Amino acid sequence: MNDTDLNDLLHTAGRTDGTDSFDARADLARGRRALARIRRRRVAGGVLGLAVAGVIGTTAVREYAGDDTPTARQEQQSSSGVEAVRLVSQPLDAGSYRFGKVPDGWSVQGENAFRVTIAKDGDPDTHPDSFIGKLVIMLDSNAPAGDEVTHHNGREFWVNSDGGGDHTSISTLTRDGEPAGTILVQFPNDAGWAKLTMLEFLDSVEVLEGAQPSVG
Amino acid sequence: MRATDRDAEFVEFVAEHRPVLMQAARLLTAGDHAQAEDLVQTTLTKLYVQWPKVRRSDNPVGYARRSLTHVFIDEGRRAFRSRERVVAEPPAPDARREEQVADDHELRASVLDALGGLPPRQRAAVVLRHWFDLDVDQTARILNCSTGTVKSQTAKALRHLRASLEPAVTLKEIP
Repeated sequence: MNDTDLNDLLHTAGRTDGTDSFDARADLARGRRALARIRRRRVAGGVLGLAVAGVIGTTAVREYAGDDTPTARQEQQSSSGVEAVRLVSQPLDAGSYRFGKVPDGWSVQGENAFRVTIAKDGDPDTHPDSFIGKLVIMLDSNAPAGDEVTHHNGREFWVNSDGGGDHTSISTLTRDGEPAGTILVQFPNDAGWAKLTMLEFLDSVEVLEGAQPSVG
Repeated sequence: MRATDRDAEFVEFVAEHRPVLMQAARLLTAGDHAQAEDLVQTTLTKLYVQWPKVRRSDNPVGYARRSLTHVFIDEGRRAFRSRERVVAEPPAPDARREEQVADDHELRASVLDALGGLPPRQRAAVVLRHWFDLDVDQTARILNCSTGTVKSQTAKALRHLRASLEPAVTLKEIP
C-alpha cells in the first residue's frame, strides 16, 4: 500500500456507515433535566446557606482579625478537613501580574506572559504547566462567564463551579489602566479556599503590561 | 436569554454538529460506539447547561471540541482500560491482510485498533492535531499542558501507530 496521510486514515476510521441517526430533541431533554437539577440544588443550597450564614460570618471575621486561638483555628478548618487558606498582604510580582495578597504557605511555581501557577508548598507536582490542585492566573480573551454572578469590593465576579469537579474558576473584568480583558483564576476545590478568600485574592491581582491572553 | 431561544439555538447546533462530534468521539474511544455515544451525550448536556457561555465564546464548535476532549480525559482517568476487540475470524496472514485493508471496514478496524493501544491523552493529542487539524498551541491549551508535552506525546503516538499499522499501511512522514 502506498504511503498514507494520517489525516486521511483518521477520517476513514471516524466515518460512520450512515447508521448514526439521532434525535436532537433527546439531547435537548437531557440538557433540560440537567439544568433543572442544578437549579434545584442552587435553591436548596441558598436556603441552607442562609441557615449557616452566621457560622460562616464568624469564621470570616476571625480569619481577617488574625485570631489564632485554638477555637478559631478549629473553625478555620473547612468541611473537608483541610485548613482554610489565609491571605497575607505581601505584594508580589510574578510574570505579568502583581499580587496584592498571596495565600500563606503557597508559592509561585511557574510564570510567564500567559499565566502564573501557584502551588501549595510541598506539592509533589512541580511541573509549572500542570494545573491540577494549583492556582492558575491568566488573562482570558473570552468575556467573563459563570454559573453565578457575585459582587465584591464594588466589582462584579463570575463564578464557574463546573470545573470537572476539581476546580472553581472565577473571572472579572480588568480595571481601567490594565490591559483590557478578563482576568481569570482557577482555584482547586477541596484545598481550603473559601469563596470570600477566592474573591479577595482575585480582587488583589493587577494585570501588568505584557500580559498575553489565552484564547479558548 | 429566553428558554425558547436557548432551546432553539441548541437544537440547531446539535443538528449541525453532532455528527462531527460523534466521529471525533469514535476516534477518541477507539471505535467503542457505546462509549462514544456517552461522551457526546455528556458533552452536549454540559453545553446546554452552559449555553449562555457557549454562545458568548464566539466559537461554539471550539467550545464543544474542548468539552468533548475534557469529558473523554476525565472518563479516561476514571477507567482507562485496554479493550480487546472481538473479531469474527482470526487475523489473516500478512499477505492477505494487505489486500483486505483496501476495504474501508478493515482499514477502519485496523486504525481503531491501533488507536486503542494508545493512552487516552496521546489519543486525544492525535485526534486534536491530526483530525481536528489544531496547531500545537491550541492542542496544548485544550489538554492543559505545555507545547513540548503535546509534541512529545504526539511523536510517541505516531511511533506506536506506525508500528501497529505497518506493513499494511505506511504512514507518510509528518514534517
